[in-house]
Amino acid sequence: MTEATLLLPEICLAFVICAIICGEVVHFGETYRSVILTTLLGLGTAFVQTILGYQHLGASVLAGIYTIDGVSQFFRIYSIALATMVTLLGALSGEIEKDSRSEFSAFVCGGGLLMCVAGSSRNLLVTWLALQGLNLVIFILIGYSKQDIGSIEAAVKYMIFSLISSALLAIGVALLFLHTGTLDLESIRHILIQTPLGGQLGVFIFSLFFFSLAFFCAVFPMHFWFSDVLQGAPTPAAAFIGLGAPAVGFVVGVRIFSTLFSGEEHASGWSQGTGGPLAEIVLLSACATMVLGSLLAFRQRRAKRLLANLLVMQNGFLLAVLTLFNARAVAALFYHLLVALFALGGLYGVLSIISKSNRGELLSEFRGVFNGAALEGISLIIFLACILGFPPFPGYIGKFLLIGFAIEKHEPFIALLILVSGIISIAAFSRFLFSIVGGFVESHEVKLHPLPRQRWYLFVMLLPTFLLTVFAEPVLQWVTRSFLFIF
Amino acid sequence: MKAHLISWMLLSPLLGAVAQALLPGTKPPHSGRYDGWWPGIARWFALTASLFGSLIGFILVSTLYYDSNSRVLTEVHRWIGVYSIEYSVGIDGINCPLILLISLIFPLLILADWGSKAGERGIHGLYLLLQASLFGMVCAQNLFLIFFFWAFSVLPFYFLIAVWGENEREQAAFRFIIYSSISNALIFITLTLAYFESSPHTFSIEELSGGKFEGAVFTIGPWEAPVGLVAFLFLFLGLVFRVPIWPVNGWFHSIGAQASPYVLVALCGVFVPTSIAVIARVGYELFLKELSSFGPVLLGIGGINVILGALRAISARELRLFLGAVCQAQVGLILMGYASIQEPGVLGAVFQVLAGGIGLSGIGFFIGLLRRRQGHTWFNGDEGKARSGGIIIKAPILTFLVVVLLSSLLGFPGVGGFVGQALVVIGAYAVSPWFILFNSIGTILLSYGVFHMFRHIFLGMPVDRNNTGVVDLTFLERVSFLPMVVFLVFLGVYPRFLLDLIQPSVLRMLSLVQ
Repeated sequence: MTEATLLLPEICLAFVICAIICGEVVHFGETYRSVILTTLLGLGTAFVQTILGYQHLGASVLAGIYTIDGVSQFFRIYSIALATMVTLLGALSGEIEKDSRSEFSAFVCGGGLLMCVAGSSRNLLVTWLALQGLNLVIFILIGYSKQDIGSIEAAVKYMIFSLISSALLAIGVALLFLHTGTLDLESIRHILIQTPLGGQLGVFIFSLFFFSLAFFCAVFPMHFWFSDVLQGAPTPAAAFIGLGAPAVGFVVGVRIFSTLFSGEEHASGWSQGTGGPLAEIVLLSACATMVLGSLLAFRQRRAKRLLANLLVMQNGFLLAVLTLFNARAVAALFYHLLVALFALGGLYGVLSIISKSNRGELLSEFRGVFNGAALEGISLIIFLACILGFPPFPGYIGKFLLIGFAIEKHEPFIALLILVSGIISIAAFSRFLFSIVGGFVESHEVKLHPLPRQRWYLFVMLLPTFLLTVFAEPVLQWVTRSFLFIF
Repeated sequence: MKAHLISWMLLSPLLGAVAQALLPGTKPPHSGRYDGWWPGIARWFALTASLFGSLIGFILVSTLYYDSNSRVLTEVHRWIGVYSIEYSVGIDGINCPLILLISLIFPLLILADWGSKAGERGIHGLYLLLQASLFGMVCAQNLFLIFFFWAFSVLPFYFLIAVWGENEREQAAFRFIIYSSISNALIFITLTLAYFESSPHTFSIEELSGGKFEGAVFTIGPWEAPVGLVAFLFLFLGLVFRVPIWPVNGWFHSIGAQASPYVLVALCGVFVPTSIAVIARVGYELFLKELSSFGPVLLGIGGINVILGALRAISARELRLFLGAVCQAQVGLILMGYASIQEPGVLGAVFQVLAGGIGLSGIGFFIGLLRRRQGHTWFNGDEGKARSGGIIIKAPILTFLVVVLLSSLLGFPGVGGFVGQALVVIGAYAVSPWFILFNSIGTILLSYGVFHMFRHIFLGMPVDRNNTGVVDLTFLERVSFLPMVVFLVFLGVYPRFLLDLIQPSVLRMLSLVQ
């Protein structure tokens, strides 16, 4: 009974999926509002159950496979918030047909559920299975517009990369199992303290795990799918993938690496036991991602692709923090993810409004948006500025913390690289601005017709974006507390 | 209670901007539909919010002036305590002139665009955001907050240039944001270095002051770099990419040529002097040794700026370019004053921030007014053909007021600019008499440029004799011009008012260096 109580958020999500499927079978053609309402109610209940779960912090269920700790609680909240946001976006966007909204909502809830499982699992096999399930959900979401060749192409690309990632992770888990005879993370850790992995084997296993998760985080060299997918997928699906995949990559990465490859007795920093250049591998990947992402973003002519590359740059920037690998750095990373959740959610909200009016592919098509729909134009700029860390938006606080840790750890090279990439990405951002603001005086035709509920959605996204600046301290404290037990 | 006034001063324009944005939307000017009362309400809303902030600014300055016991007002609130980030604002003698400048100019800017057809609400909202960010930048007592407001001002300027500028406004705005981003990045490095190299980590200027970085080094591979020197250089470079300082000044003029005259008032008249004053203050408080070492170099750069600005003024054929050039010369002068590290020099620089700022703003207002009346701001077309002239006949009051403003910028006795420039020259002389030469050459050249412009615009015969466009000032325009002119004359006749206010703070700042 207690175990079931601890798993209530996941059970709620599973119930929602069942309810939607039953609704589809029994009441086909039901108005979409009730589906959305059912989904939102279920997600709301799951959210409340997660909050209530804080009183059982530290418990583990299902024979230790599943753990309820700060990380899992944080990620449950994150996943449920993301699923809620994407469900709303799907309902408001014209890209998801009314008849398809129920299955879209079911897939989003399924994705959220699998994210929760991946973030809470302490067993490598369960983690692997959850990630593969998530891959499947994402694959379907990308190819949702079955008639769109871009969507299908993106789905195929994703599948190929996900198979590589899956294989890498499976080999890594198998090698670790061969060495330790268990799949439980804590047990593996205790065994590794007794009999550490040899230098080359350690680095090899680490690399397998790292490159597999690099796929989810969309960092070099596994980032190539990201811009294609974010351009090809319908806007609400792109929001889910753009936010969900990197977040799951980082959370699973932090859990696995902090248990298996961190310093002695959960100390900060990377383990020296393997004798390999673990931090250097992460750093190299982060630097390459930042540089590539910002340069690619700068030369894009398509809006969604430009955004996707900016996100790749941001992912590299977040990965750079993992080279430091201490509680404060990781807290800053997840604070940044939280900021991105609302900023990117809002950003995709605006894009879905623009896409609805058959605009928003090429940057040049954005001309006059600022005049046609000033609120949407301003929101777009605020959300973008927030992601890029422009003051006074909260991304700035996150960026400061991340660069600061680099300087504190006497890694000025990382700080400098972050800054240079930041400047290039701001140049790309300026190109976007240039298109939105362009034609303000000449363009008198109001082509965008946002619905009031779409504007409400933007407002709901804007509010936390500002609140995260004002109440940065309590949020940071919460995030730090969530990850403190690891280090 | 007095300390809370500082927050109210920052908040009132900010709240005004938000409230104004939430009012019901107005119809586009081409739609021909009736808007009702909303445009008028929004306009008055903006003016009230700006005036309220300014009024509190004046109250705070007068409190400091009359109450000798409270030479410093501060307000501190915890923001992100884990990282020692505080909301810490304050007022002392040095930032009083800056508050006066912002308080005086911004309500006038809103009045200047009163009843404008194209996006008046947007313009007013952005002015209010700028006013709030500049108040914040001036009053901030820690590096984090200074940077916060410093970077906050980028986007309002971007939109003001990109939306309401001239034909090539979008390119100019693009250039502006790129240079601003570089500047932000450089200053960001300074504040991060200062924070992480201090022990315990802090952003507080008070706690960081007094040569805390002396001897501190950080390593980059095999090299060791002094923290103070690196941070100081990045700070100065950050300033260079935001205001017209040689050798990175070309961008400023190309932006100036595309911005609307009133935006140029905010940029040249308020933002540029304020930025130099804020960065100079940080330099004095945090990097004493580096400032002493680089003082002569900065003085030289200031001198070059004065001459270069004057030469640009001579070659300008368009009033906005002319204003940008005069602004560059003023920047040079202020920089020389700060770099002299002498009491008269620094006093003069702080004084000149206000006097020069008002002078530049006044000329900016005049350019806007002229543009509205004659449709362009050229005073000398291609092949030397006159495109303006004879304004003295049509608008004698306007001519008189502009003469006062120009006299102040040239440092004529009886107006504010004279006191500021004289003190800067005295301060620079104490370092090396050679710097006087720079300044003198610059002033002579600038005088030539100013009278060249004056001759073409005000003297002679009107270019189009039937053109009745250039008429004298309306009541509203007189209301806009008079405060600036009266204030400049007051500063020229009774400079003690300001000098008494700023001297104790300047002496305290200089005592750190000595």
